Amino acid sequence: MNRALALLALALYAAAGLATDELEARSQAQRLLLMTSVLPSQAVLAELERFSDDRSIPLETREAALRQYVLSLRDEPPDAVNWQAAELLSRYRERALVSHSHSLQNAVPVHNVAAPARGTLNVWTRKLERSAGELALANQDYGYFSSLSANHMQVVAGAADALKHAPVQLLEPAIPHLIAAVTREPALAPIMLAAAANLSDPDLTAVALEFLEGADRFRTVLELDGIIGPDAARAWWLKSLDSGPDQAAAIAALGRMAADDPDVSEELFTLMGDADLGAAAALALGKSQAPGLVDRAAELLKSDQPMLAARGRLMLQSHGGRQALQILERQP
Amino acid sequence: MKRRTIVLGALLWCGAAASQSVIEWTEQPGILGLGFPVPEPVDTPLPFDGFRSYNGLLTRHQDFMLNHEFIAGEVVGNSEAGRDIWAYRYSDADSITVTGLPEPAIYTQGGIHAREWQSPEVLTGIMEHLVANAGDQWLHRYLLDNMNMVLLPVLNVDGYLQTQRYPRQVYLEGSAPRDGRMRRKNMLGVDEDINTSGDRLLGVDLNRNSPPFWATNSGASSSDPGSIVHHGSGPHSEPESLAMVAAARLGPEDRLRMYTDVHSFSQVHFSVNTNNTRRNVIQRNLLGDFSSFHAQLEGGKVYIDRPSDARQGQAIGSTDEFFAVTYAVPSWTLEIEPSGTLSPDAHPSLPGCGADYGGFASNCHDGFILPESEIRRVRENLGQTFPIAYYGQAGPPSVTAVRWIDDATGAVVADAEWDVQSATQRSLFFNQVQPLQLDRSYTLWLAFDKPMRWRNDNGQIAPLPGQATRTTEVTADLLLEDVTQSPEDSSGQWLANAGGAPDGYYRYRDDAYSASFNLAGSPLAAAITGETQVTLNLSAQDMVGQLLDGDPATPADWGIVGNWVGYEDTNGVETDLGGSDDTLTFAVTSAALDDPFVITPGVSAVWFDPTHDGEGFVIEVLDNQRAVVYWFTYDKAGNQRWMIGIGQVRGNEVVFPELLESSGGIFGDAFDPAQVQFSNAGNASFVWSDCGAFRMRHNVDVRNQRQAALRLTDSTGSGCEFDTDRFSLLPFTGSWYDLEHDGEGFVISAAGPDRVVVYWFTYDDAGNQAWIVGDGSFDNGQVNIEQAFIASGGVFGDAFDPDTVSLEPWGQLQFSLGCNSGSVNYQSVLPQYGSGSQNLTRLTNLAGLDCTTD
Repeated sequence: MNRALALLALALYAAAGLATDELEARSQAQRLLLMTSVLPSQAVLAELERFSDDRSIPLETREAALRQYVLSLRDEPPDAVNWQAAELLSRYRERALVSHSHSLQNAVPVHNVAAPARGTLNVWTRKLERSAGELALANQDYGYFSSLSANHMQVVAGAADALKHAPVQLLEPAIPHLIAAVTREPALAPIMLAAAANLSDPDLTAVALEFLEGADRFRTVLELDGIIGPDAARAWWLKSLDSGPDQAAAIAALGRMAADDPDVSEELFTLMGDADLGAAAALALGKSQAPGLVDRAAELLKSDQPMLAARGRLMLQSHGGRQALQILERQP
Repeated sequence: MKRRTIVLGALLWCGAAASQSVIEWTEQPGILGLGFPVPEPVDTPLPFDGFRSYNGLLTRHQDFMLNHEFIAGEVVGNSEAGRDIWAYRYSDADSITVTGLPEPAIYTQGGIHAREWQSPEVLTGIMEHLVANAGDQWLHRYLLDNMNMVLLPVLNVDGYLQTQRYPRQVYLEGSAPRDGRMRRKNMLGVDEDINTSGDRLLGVDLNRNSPPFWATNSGASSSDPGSIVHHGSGPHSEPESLAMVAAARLGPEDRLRMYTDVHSFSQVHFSVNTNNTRRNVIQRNLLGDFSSFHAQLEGGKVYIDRPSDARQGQAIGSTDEFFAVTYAVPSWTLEIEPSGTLSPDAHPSLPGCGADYGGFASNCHDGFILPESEIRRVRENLGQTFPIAYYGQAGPPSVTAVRWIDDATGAVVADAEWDVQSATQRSLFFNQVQPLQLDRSYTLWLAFDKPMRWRNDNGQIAPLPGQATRTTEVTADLLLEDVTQSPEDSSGQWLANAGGAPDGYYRYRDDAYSASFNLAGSPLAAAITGETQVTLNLSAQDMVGQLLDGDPATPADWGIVGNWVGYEDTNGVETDLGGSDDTLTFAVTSAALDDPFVITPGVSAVWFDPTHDGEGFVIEVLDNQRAVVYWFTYDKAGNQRWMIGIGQVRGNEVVFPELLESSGGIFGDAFDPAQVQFSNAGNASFVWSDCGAFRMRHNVDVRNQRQAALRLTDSTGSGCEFDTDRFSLLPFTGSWYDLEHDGEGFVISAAGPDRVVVYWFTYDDAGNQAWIVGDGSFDNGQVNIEQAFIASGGVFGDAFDPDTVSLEPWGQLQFSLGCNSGSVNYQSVLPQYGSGSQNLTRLTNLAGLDCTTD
């Protein structure tokens, strides 16, 4: 390690040794919050700059105050003053540092300011978008949805919040426009899903699923029984086993039914020799504790097809019951 | 001017937290508001946009292990609660490379800190990437064949299960979320119920539990059992730590070349520098290759190297220090994304923590909770990237073989190859059939010991993503003092198809390169009179920019002190940089010589190496540039063994991509063709220098071995063609078998104008391979072998000693042959063989012979 780094490390230790004055920090945060509520933006920004460099208050306490301030700010309305204040602090470079617990030659802030400030902007983005969505629904301004951008996680989430909690009579007329918006931009599919959840509308859920991808799709398929009912979900899951993006979710979901539904159990058994899906089916069946499962798994162990025998073993491992484990112990 | 009434209650944010000991992560704003759905583990082994449960991951690992022969799993220890801790070896079954060197090893570990769910997913992503690409006959197959990749996906099994038991709940200690979803340590002294107080903070930080710096730094590890960095009661006091050590032994430990402990978050490499500067530089370059490649992938995520020193005062008792110091290998902690809030800032363009994805960053601990929408990309990108680092540490590149092929005849005129003799020594096999001639054109074929090039989506050679264009340059020049002869412009090409010289790769796609030389009128031609030795100067970099080993005679390896050994530069000096290879010289002549020898049908004969008297080869040249070899030899224990190959004739060479050996046959009436199985024992190539001699290379016992053979039988006249006038029996020669005995058979070869030698490739009564040989008379289709023999005592390969071979009388055989059918009767003096007969059908027709007397 060079000398400069060693000195930095020592300085960091010294900084870490400075305790935060929590009371003072809270008091300063409160003062800044009050100031923000009454002063124009230029003055607020100037005061934040001044406070950041106010050496009469220990640096660590100052940054604790700024952190508390920016976290509290997110409960305030995202007006221009607040927004500019948070934006200013999202560019703040913390100076009260402590050695990183894993790499002592690296430092981390004692109190993060910039990241929560960015988070505050994200909170507001979501709130603003929710408000905009609610307003659009109330005003029947459905163009709002077709102009929605999918580039920011919280924009989509905020619009979805609006739809999820909207009065049904406002929501229903918006549905064709939502479909049009999602057709234009499939990444907006979560807003249609939110509307479908609000309306408990299986058909709309099905439409949403045509567009949904990734984590949203997986979760939706996995929890489909709660949205479209157990029977319709069961049919969907069974249909999804053949191909497509929902196989993993469908197998996991069907596994929950396998103990009480012999047909489902049988369907999962037919997947056992599938190179890609067999292990998933084995896990789902094993955990289901379906009747007769252990005996069938034991039969699979004797298969002259190595893959089937392997899946039998996985099924017994997943089952984990006494008989299953005894069978495994007897295996070479 | 009052804009509004402010809710000062918001400032109770922190105070409110303190009053609730167990609280939840939420999607909506709040003390632990994420801004995205709270991930919950799903019981599936399949990769998806989310996190798998421990059972799901374990099932995935076990399914791979049970269904792929290149994966072996082992329980390397048990957790505090007695749960199995699994490590997996991704490698072929042997522990040696395809050229015969001891395999290097890497160890990559995940799941040491329970809450860092990204880590086991990434380890599983590495496995998934290796499995999906195992058949690529390129980078990944190369790694599986030549490296032992030890992967341990979840070390802290108990802790991991605790976090998955409470995917939302945490115990809030001040403002720090602990236990439940935020458990970091193992479960020593902890029950599994988050609601029981008194034990929530307990456990040992497994990344503070390692020697040699265990408990040496009170700022970074603690003796307080409640501390987040509690170091435990002693170095490697925890069963999980002992499992880690046991996993390293799977390398085995003295073959390790790299260690990575996969954590989250901060999007950096926390690498460990030791007092070995050479090791540190290699590590820095390795991490540079890792990061450069990763940055080019879908997410464009950049990992920054932030090294620290493994020395008292700075070290913390972590596992990366343990591996860096104990095994002297590149060793680092990979902190997966999101970025953190390091100072100096490693990622100035990113806000850090969950805010990297648009999250709320309410508490930067949310960096431990990657959004479900991100994990697939993270898993797949890092799954792709780790093999690049493995490739680098597999070793610097080395030239393994060079061939000059005469373009007009396709004959190999010079053949050089570095054969492994031991872990520290290669010997040069060199066979120049004739000097290179100035009035001919040649193809130079070079083979390396690893895949050397990346191809883009269009199949064109391109730098490995993140590497400089210069890494694709190749120099292959002939040097004579100050005269340089380069290949024809634009003739150089990397070889993407199988087949070997001159048009195919050697073992892996793009491990071979060819270029054209036309020496006529060249500066070199003007400088040569008579026969002169000319140096071949070779320079190339592998995909990560490592230069060639300047002296292939000493294989590059990782030295015990922590740098490359046997890795020479251009001047033969051992460094970590490599250089160009000018170890090979070839004879060039200004004389105009005859064409080099090319294979003719008369090559069909019995051949043997005088130093291997007691084993040998029957070669049959067939039509359509095909040839068959029967190799009658022995196994390691001195029992009889035979192999068959079907090869391609190219100029003066026959290449046998597979040598097949059989099992399951039983001699005599008990023979059942359905029980005979053929398996691939290796490969071989034979290069003839003239009609009476060849040099053969085989790779049956992993490393190359060779024989130089001469004729045992000869039925040729002039020009190496069959002398059918003198050897009237020739049309009856070839391979014969009984249709009901498919899996054994006879080879009849001319040994004189009215003499034949017969080989019967069969089995004994116990199902072992056997071969019986005898020579006898031939008269108008009637062959009489009055005394056949059976041999024993030879030992396969270089250990063969002719003096240990003994021949035992076997009995008699009588053949009655037409052109296409015949019969054989036999009477053995050995009771286990007895007497019998077979009806024969011709299996092979030798090229150049025509039988019309049936």
